[in-house]
Amino acid sequence: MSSTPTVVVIDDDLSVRRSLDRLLVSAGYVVVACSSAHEFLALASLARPACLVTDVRMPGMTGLDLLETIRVRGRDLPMILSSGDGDAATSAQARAGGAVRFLLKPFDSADLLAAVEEALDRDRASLARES
Amino acid sequence: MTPLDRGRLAPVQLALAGAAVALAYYVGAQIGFTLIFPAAGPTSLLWPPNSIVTVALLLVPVRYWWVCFAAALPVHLFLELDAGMSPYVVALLFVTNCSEAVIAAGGIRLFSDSPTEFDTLRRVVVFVGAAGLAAPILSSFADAAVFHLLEGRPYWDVWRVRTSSNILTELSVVPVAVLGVRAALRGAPRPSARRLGEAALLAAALALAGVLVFGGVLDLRGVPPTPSVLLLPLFLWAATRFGVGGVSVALLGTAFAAAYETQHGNRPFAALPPVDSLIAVQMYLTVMGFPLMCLAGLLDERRRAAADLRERLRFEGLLTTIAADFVSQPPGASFERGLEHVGEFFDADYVGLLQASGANGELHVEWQWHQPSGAPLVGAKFVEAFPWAFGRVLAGETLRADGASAFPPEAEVDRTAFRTFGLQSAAVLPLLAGGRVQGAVSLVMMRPGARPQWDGQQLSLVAELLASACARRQAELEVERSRQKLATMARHSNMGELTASLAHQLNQPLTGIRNNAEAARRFIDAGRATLPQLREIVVDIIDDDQRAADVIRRVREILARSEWAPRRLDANALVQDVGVLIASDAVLRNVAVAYDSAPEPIFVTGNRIDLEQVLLNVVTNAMEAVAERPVPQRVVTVQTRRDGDGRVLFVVRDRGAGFPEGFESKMFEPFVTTKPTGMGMGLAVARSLLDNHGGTIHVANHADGGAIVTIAIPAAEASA
Repeated sequence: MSSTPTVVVIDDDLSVRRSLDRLLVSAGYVVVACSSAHEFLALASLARPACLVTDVRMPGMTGLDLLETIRVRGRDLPMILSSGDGDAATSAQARAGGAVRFLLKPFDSADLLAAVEEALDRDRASLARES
Repeated sequence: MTPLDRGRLAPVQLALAGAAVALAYYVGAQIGFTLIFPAAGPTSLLWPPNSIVTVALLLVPVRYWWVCFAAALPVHLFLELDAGMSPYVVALLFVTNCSEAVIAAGGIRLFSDSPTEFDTLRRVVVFVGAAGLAAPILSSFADAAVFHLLEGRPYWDVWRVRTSSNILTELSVVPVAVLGVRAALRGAPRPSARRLGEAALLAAALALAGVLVFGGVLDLRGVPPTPSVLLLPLFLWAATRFGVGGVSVALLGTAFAAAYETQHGNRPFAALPPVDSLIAVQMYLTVMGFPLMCLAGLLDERRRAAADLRERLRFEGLLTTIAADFVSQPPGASFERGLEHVGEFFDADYVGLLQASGANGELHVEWQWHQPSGAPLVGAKFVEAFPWAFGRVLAGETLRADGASAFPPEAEVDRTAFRTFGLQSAAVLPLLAGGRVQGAVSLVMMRPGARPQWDGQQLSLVAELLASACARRQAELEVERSRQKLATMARHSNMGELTASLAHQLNQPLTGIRNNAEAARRFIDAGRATLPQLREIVVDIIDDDQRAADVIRRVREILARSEWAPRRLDANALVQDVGVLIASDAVLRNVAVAYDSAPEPIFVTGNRIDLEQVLLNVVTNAMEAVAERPVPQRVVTVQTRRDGDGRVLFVVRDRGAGFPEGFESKMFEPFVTTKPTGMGMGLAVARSLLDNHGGTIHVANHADGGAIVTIAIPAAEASA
């Protein structure tokens, strides 16, 4: 099942992480759940196509920091950011950093799934370019 | 100020004064010689030299009197020795003449509040008493003794003639000479053409009358008082219109006329024996002079009192006007109007009000007013231009500069700026409040040649008034700031912080619940749902729900705990404090807030800030409710009282539109508001805060219109 897309979920809140895990599994994705950005970065490898759903406000490295780190490392991993406080500045920063979507918690499940699908499409496209 | 008033004379000035005394002494003697009645021995109608010395001693500070004596002595010796008198007599006569001047000037200096002025009854009476009576009478005893012992002349005859002559001389010479010298030294203003015309007319009338009376032209035989009938009205004219100086000149002129006519053998006095005719003229003039001089002094005094009163009324009018400006005008306009009135009153070209600000209290121009001529000063950096002057003002001193020369050597910068700005006169007064310099007011005169007659006392009163206005404005700004701070805290900080925190902390469980529920639905829809899985999901949803409930409970606890330091509080004092906070708002909205406080102190237990916030909120609501009503209805009453159930009631009533139908039930819900700009948090917060105090808030519409809000809090024991 190498074609089953992978969605990485990063959220320091266990409840949010678990519920997202379930939601994405119910939608048919392979889910890798991490409690922090560092935990994700320590992952050895990631099956493609893949995308990332991360909280913005986390202890240690924030979602925006992660976005920047990934971009600097040259990894082309589409990201979806979500946050409880949706100030315009965060949203603009996320978009400027190349995030696919910025979602305001609590978000509609359909919005999340649509965003995930869009992110995965983008990763599939880059996979096609690379091959 | 003339050099003479300052009390210290430079050597050059001393030399000039001595020369003037010598010259005057000589001229006075020559005049005396021309007025000698030939038949009456070597006695003159007037003998001015003694009075000249009197004048000198009045004008020159006591420490320089010796200069006057020294200057007069050679002239005296030259004249009298020339007249062929024995040296002993001449020397002794100089002593007796000087003793007359010393008694006259000393007496006047001792008893008069202003020895060189003769414009009050007191000053005139002192002058007449000391110079007109005491000095001639007393010195004549010594003079007669000299003549009697050394020349063998009859003692009382000499005494009589000399006394009579010297009384008239002192009366007629001293006032006009003193006033003349003073006016010359001070550069007195030019009299108006009208006044000069009047003086000329009076002089002509006197000359005519003198010829008629003393020339015997109008000789009504056997009616001795005839002369007085003609001269009296003219002397009255001089006294009423030209003061003591006028009387003095008239006496002098008349004496000349009398002497001239009598010397030429004309009537009426020429008919008397020579000495008697001389004394008759002297007595006649003296007797007329005494009361007229007193009358002139009295009239001057009354005139000045009237002018003073007029000036005081004008000044009080200014104070009233400024005070009214500060009450009736909005703060900015009140200072502008106030300075305009000050500027117009003092006829200044520029008036600036500087206020201290910042940590080290630097002064800067806050308000200003100017005439067209004062326009160049607008925007000038006075504090930088006049470092010395404003340094003194900041130390609490009042400064006055009429001309650049008023600055001391160390104020070179100030002096240069004074010239550069083209200032003529300036006064700067500190504005003191609570013993500290809070600002300064400066008055400037720019018109060339203008010498402002600014009264120091009036200036300082104006400064005091402005200082209190500044202090009041400062206090108002302070109150307004703290009120706004409190209001902002109530609206944004307190409730805003709460809602931000609520939103944040509730997001996570809500997101979890939503995702979990959605996942469960998808599993069920896909037919992949298993009971253990669904159970797990439901347990997570319940946990998240519990978490959300915990958040809300915690927030409520924080709200309840915040600043919670219960104290015994006087309900009336709470209302008073709130009254201070809203006072300026009430003025701005033209709302009358009436307080109906319980006569006895009533107490509640609670947090002062919380309860003041509740009251502030309710009273501000009430004021807003009436703000658009006609003025008579813009009334809010705040009542405090105890009810029968051991509670303290705060009842706030307005005459506004009242609450809309059905609004009462939603009243305390957050985000419900009838105000276009409100957040609808006020009453919700109020109820929450009152809950913590075991209190309640009740709103209703009054039967007579308007809303009535009743806050009830359990009363605390009066003697806690």
